[in-house]
Amino acid sequence: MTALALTLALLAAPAAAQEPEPPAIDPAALEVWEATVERYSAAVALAFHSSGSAALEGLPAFRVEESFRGARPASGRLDTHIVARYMDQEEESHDVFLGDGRKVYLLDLEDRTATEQGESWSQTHALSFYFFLGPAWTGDAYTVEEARALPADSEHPGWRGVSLRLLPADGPPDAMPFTLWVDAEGRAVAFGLPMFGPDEEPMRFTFSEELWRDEADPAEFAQPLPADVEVTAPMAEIEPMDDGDDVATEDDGFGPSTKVGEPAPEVTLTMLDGSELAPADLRGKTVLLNFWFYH
Amino acid sequence: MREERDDVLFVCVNIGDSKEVITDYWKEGGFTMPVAVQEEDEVSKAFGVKAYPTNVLVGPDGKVLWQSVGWDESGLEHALGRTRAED
Repeated sequence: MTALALTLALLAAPAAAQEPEPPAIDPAALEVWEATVERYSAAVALAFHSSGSAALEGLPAFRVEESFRGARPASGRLDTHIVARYMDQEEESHDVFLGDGRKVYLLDLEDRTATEQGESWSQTHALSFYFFLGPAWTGDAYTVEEARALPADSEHPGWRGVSLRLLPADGPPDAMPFTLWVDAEGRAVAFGLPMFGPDEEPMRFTFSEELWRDEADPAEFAQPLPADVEVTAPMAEIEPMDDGDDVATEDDGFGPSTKVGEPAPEVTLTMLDGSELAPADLRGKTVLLNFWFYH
Repeated sequence: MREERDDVLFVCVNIGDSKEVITDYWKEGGFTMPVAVQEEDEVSKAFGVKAYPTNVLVGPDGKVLWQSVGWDESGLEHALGRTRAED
């Protein structure tokens, strides 16, 4: 894969003066927003919580069963920082997330516990919200380190997908993989994660799906690109990604930082039953480590 | 795997799921392979894992033999075939 010139740029708003690290959010200390909000979309509720004022119109209605309000960290970082549990039309509940730019807390409203997720997770969701709800949500800017066009979409011929490696302007130096689909009118219609390697379809969420309207026409929910996203070259000119049988390697940006032929990190594994597998236990054995999650 | 390889230890390293979820999933699927859990994503961080699933094959000498994002069975079989050839 040859290096590509930057073809997309997410332009930063003027940088604010050096701001302190965001305060840690203690999920247990969050104030529960008491009101049950009928006929509000989760997005509206989220916006309400986020800014206290921003009203997003034209989004479909959802019943927010319960939601939290969190302090918005005074930070230029791209944050995910809002939580709501809302009910879809089948009355199934969905939880969304709170983050402080470094961690995302998956909150379980039943017992008020939180599960911490890592920083990259936080950024992924923050990016989703960024494209979903626009820059009012987020204070940060990303530069595009590399962009690759996805193969033509058979389901939606007018769509163009692009996989991006994004570098946070003031975050950690790790590049973030992120995938965005734009329709023929240049509106963002879907976003996703290249979770399963470059030779398979990336996981894709259309904005309609994100609003739990699977049957709806995604175009109906298309979002204008945020005002500070500038497309500086037609996506069609981005070098097509190999759709052959190539395998992800560390060079693709999504692979682990380990390198074939070099020593693997020596870590002690804590097993489900509480026992431990130390590096010494593994020496002399061939070990396949499969990193996975279920949720 | 199409072929049993009892000389290869297959360990699933979970990120982010509760022990209850993993236990239920294992029970449901009838899985028997060992699962490692992470308090602070320490194993994922040590390996610099950015996408899931990621697979890393480590040889008896502790060196990485092969790795992939996603489930690349043919690549894995190829890599495992090489380990046998070297035995």
